[in-house]
Amino acid sequence: MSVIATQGLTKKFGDLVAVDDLNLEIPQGGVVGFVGPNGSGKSTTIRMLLGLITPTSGEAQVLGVSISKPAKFAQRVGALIESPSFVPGLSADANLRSLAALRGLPAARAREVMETVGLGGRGRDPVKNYSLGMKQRLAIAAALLPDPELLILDEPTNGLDPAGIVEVRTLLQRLGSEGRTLLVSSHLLSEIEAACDRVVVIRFGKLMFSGELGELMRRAIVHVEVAPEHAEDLPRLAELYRSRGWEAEAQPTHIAVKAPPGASAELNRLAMDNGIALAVLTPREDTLEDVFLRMTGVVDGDHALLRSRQKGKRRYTLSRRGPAADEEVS
Amino acid sequence: MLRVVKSELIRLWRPSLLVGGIGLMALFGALSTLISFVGAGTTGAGPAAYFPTEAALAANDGMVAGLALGSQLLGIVALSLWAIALASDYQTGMIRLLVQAEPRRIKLLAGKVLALVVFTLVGTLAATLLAVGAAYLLAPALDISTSAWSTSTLGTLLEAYGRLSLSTMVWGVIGLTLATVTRSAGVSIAAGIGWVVVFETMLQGVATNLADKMPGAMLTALAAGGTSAVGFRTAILLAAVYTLVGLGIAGLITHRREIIY
Repeated sequence: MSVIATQGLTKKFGDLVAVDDLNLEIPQGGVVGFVGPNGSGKSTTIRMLLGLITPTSGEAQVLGVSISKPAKFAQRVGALIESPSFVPGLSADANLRSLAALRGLPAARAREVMETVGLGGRGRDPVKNYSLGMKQRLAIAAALLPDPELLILDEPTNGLDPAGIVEVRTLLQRLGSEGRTLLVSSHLLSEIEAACDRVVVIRFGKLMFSGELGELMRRAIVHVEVAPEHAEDLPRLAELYRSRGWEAEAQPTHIAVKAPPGASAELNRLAMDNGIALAVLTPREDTLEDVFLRMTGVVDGDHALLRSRQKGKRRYTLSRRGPAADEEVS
Repeated sequence: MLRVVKSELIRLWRPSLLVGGIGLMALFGALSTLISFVGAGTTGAGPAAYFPTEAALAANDGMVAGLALGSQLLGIVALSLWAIALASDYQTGMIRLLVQAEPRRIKLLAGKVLALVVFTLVGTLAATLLAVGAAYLLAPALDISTSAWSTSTLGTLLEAYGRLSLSTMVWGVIGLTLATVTRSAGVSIAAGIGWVVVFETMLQGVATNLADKMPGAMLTALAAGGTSAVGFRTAILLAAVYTLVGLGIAGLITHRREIIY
């Protein structure tokens, strides 16, 4: 059974089509990443699924129930939508007790979920004294209150320090392994890559991809990054590779040769035979970020990413894709 | 429904609202009694026109005479309190969590109204008790006889408390309605106070009959058990109309609103 299914789901705000004819099937169990550039319609989709806004057209079901009857699945779904939202002057414990009471849950459940997210000793503190990371954990605790079958988390690692990110990632993986389904929206592709089994990619409100992460990564392009010792040799080297049938793209500091890692020796020999010494010869595979950008284009806030990439820097740590990626973390 | 009321009361029972709501109501109850007793018998235009006479203070309901004078102040506190309680859900984003946990929005609104009614009843009780306490303290010092006060004391107290509570709750409904429309406590409070203090006062100068039907005048009449301009029955009828219209607007907006905040 699909925990989330949409058929032609569409939402318009005036002339703006935020979600456009979205057809989606998310199977039960595991952690599903929900990614897309800023303004791609992720939050709008989530809000429609939770009954906060009404679709302009189309249908959707959550846990097999139509989203036009959200009361029928509300007790089986937990959600963190955008930023954490609590009464600032009230203690964290009272905020959670209030939400527990609304769901007909005992006050003890509020203490349980505080322990789960590592805030057990800070329940009496007013939320206004919490750091952003603590508020984020509190919001996850609130989402966990009904012990949900489906957990929808919008940017759950926002504001967390690196240790907190790892902690939340571990928590998400544990929750996912318990048979729940987690739909995690994030702009941190490294988080999606590290925590998710499946990925849904949307752009301009349209579905670009939905499937297993491995299936998406099969779209990754393998190439070898080559840089001559002397920069002035770069155009000649690129031309040399092209003349031998390689697909070579000259970048400001290196050449990206579309070739498997095993071709490195041949590329090196070719350069040496033509009197060019190589300073860099690194096999590379596209990261999720590369695949994502190729699929979605560069939109809105992602221009910053493009700029940083042009400077030879990366914004994200993508530790699974070879040591060079880690070296370039900005 | 009890779940919603309990949830709401947990959020309302916080220091800022206890002091700013119940505390302020109690303080205004005592202050209005003080002013009524000190200003008793003063005649003239403006606020003095509403001061009770010394004879009225010595009557069996004299101990609560100040409450009618202060009912607008208490009403403004209630308007603010209800507006803050509603608007803060939108301003903090809490509304997302609430609607997700209880998607039946009318039930959510009804639970909030009931919780605010409870909160307001506690506030007006505190105001009534402090007003009566102040009256007993001030009467001997100002040579006002209290011998008639012992006649059906409980009945008098309950009647005054009931009228004041009704009036204050209608004020609250106005605040809730404004906050539902504007989603801002500040704008709602400014609009509410501006209407009563500025607009209704100006209207009195040009259309007295119409001004007497406006919320400020009508709710003062309700708290006082009727005034020379508005009878008690008329005040109750108008209060019911204002309440139904207010809750109707709030309910419709709450039901239909897209929660994109």
